[in-house]
Amino acid sequence: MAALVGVWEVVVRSAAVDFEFLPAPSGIAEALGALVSSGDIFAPAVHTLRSALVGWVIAGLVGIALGVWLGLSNTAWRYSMASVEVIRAIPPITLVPVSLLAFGFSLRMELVVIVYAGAWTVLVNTIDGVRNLRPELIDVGRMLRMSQLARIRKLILPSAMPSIIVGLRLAMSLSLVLAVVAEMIGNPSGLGNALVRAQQALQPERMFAYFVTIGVLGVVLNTGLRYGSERAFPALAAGRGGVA
Amino acid sequence: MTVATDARRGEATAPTTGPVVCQCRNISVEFDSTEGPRRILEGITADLREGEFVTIMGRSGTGKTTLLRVLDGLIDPAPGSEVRFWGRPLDGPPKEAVFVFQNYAASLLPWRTIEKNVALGLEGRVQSKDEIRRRVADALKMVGLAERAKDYPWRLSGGMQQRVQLARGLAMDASVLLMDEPFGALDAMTKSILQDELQRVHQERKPTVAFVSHDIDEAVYLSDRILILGGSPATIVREVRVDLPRPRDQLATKELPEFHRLRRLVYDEIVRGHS
Repeated sequence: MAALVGVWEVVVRSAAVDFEFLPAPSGIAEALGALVSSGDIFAPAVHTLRSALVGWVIAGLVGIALGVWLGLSNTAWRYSMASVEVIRAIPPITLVPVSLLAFGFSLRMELVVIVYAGAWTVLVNTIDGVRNLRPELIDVGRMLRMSQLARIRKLILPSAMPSIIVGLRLAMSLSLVLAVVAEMIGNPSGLGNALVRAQQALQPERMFAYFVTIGVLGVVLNTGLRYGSERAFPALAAGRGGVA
Repeated sequence: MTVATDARRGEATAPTTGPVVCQCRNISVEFDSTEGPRRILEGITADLREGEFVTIMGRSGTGKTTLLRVLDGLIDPAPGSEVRFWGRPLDGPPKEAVFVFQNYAASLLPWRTIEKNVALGLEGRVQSKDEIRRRVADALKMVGLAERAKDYPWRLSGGMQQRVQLARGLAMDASVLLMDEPFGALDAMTKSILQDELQRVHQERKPTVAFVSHDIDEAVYLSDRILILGGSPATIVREVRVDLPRPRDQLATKELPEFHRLRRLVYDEIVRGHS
């Protein structure tokens, strides 16, 4: 990584290749520093972060609730799965202009896109997790005469947890991406918007600085989520499923 | 002195002591297959007496596991079949019975510690948390896993995981143990050790045990009675009483001429086929 950055710096500075608008890493670092010290970075960063997180939380709740219901109820599943498969094939990014038309330049427009995309991801993974309880554990539940509620709480949901968490992590990445895209196209705030404005003002260093910030946000969110899920479900982190 | 009764084609004659815990009458099982309905078991009739250790044997595929699952209410037999526990007809898995599965790794909950796995059976039935903790601790001590209580299943060897299943049944104070080839996937050494542990538990607590096994030595070593299934659809082709002295020893008992006679008897019946 460091080597790449180093090569990049040398290539641009030495003008060996002429990129009119590709700045050197040192220039980007400088611009980033300026943004931080002037405080200009924080408002858009907080906006993007908040949209991504709020959207993700709503997507997660909706996805898990619907996913558990569809996963458990055979009739509901049978009637809806065909539709689910069709609708989820539509790339969420195509929803941005639609949402723009419906909600105008606003935070709501951004959230709609994020929740839509995230909820599908979580939904599909949750259904998968809920429906794939090991047959041996189904037997154990029956043998112990567990009530349906006990089975859901003690067998089905814990067993579905790894799939659900995968869905949540995917949704997190999606949330950030879609927040930025929505800001680029529709909502006049946040990092996406700032990035586009820097581009339009022909300030490539600033633009890349925002770009780097978005990347950092992504890493922070992802790491945070991974750490959180390992703390909340230590049994899952400990390598389940193997015989010593 | 052993009496091997020749109850051919159908009934296993009831032993003479103790109340009957489980009555099977005319158990037949039919499965759907690509060629139409297939009868796996036909007219199985047997009694299990309190405290008895009965092993069900037969060639692969004869339906031993199926019969065991019928006993636990996990499979519904064909109409005309009847299973009763203490005179009550089955209404789902009986509370007093615990099924020990062959695939021990898959029957333990990987997200729970050993002690919480053992507690699983008690959670719906026993209200007091202290009571649960006490029974779990006792059960773990009885199978020799007290120090591993806080470990997760994946950290334990196969033999230990199987013991956890056993502990689950013990904690529930189950009076009937239905065990489906519980030691089949273990190495010979561990198998012997667990056989003796099971024997010890059986001596102390006197549960009624229905045990499915492929291992003739194991069956003769552990049982009071062996039911041999055969044919297609399968019936009880032979019942063998095992009156070897208890407690039994892996070395001493297996040297007795009576042990060898019984072994040969069972082997002949299973391998030679059924008359």
